[in-house]
Amino acid sequence: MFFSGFISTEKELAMNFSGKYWFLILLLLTVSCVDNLLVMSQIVSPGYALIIALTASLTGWAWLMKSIKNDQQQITACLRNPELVRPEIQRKNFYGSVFAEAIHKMEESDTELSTTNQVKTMLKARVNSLLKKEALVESVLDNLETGILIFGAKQELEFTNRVANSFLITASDQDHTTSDSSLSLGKPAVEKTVIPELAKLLAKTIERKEATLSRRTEFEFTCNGVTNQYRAIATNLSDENHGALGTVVVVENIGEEADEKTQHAEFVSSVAHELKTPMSGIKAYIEMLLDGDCEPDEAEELYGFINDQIDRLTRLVNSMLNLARIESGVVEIKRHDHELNDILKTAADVISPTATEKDITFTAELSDMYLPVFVDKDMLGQAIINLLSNAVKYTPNGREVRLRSRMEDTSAVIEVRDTGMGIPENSLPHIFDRFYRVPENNRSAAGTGLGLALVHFIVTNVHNGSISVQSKVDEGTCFTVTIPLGHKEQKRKKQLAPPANA
Amino acid sequence: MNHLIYICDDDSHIVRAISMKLRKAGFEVECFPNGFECWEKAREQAPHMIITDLQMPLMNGLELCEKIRELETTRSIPITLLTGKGFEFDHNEYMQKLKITNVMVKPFSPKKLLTQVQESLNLTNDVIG
Repeated sequence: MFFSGFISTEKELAMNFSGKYWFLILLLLTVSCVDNLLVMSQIVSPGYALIIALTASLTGWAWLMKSIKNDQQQITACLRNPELVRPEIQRKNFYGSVFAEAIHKMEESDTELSTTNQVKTMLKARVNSLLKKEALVESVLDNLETGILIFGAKQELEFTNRVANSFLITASDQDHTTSDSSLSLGKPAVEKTVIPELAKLLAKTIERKEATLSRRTEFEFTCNGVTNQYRAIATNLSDENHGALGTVVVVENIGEEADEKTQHAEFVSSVAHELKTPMSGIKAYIEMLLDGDCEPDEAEELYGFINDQIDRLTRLVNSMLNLARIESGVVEIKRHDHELNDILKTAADVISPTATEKDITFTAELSDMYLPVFVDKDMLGQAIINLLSNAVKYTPNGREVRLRSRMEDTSAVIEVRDTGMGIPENSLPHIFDRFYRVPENNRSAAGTGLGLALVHFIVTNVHNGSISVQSKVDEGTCFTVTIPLGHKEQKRKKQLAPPANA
Repeated sequence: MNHLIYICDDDSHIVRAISMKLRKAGFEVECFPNGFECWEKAREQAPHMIITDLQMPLMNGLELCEKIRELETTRSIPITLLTGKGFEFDHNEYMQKLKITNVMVKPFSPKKLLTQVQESLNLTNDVIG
């Protein structure tokens, strides 16, 4: 759109140009008609008429040649000095100088192009292809997640992509809106200024361009009510002759990165706490034993406690290692044919002493049917134990926890239902995330935020099953796991059997 | 009269170890699994001292300290805070703000804890005898 002025000038010239042809032809026709009339009416002799006609056509031809030359000079002048014709490009657009340069070069190299028509066609093609490229570059920039702001050599804002538009402040004294134009390219720089954080960075980068080409800064910025952490990198741009072209500022949202860091720090802190608790118990007991504080029967009891605490530490370390190994694929998955209820029974046996300790009624209502599954027994067992131990952990003393199994179409369904404190709705989408802990329930029991992540991984990634959760605060939570039914090994053995017998 | 001490930790083994140590030293001890229960009891009967864990369900150690410092009858009793946290926890800040007498980092020595309890209550071994 910025070169429409140019095109119209060009069109005007073209119109003039063809108009001149038509004028000349009309003139010659008129002259020959008049000539004929004169000869027919015998006013002039044919010799004179011929001379008149010749003179008229020669004069016309000379006039045409002259005007063509004139036009050509005019166009060449325009090409030589693009700023004269299109000052708006230089002022508005970053690519303006690129266009001017391209046109100039083309004009110089293509000396054999003698007619303005050829130049015109070339220019049109050139302008079109450049326009397409520009639209492409702009749409690419607009679809980037990172904000890009380009400043000219005089620190004026030349370009912002879609994301970077949020870092602009509209100067209050400007009432003129440019919302009709989706192209931020053409917007005059006066209208908008960047936020103070970026302005400061820009000023420093330009000021210290001798020392380093780029500078970075991190800042917090609120846009549409959402506060995020951003990192901005400003780089000075220069052409091949080290002349300053301007500065580009790239702004990245590092909110997720920062979140990950915090999550990791929290995870390490919670792991440390989990490890330190049993260690404190062990240390306290051992010191008392060393000091001879206890009677022999008390000492016996303390040794038992120490043993338990060490088991607890081992379990904790193992579960962390397990998750790391299973997730990274180091552990070999050993899927075999099993009966699901057998696995569930084993898991139930592991968990029922803990439930009894908390005075929780733990019931296993297992299906009467034989549920054939092709699973890694230890892994699936671990997943069920994790679910059950969570259920027991987050259920207050005296209430109940239920483990159920049933057959449904082509899957085996396992249900772990508790009558505990429940999970608030806004936490439900996150409960299978690593390190995530429900903030409301965080304090009611110790945990690493790894248990459900491991369950999810084992059920979905290892066993092609699915897991879902329903929960109501203060009423309880129900985890439903589905595992595809069917043995796989027997089929294979049967297939292999005949050739073995033969 | 024996000194009454409230011990507050969600880990039963830590509570057991501390209470054994303190009872043997002649203190009267009462144990709570979280800050809330301890506070409820402290409102009824103010102890001479409170030993509490930092991270606990329902009400954590810091919240408990705040409540204790708000209550007239318990405002000036010594508090020892047990914590599993290291440098991510600013000891000095909390010690000043909530007037926590001592901070002990887990794993801790029950013997040292006993000494600190005795110091906080201005006792010497002779008196307890």
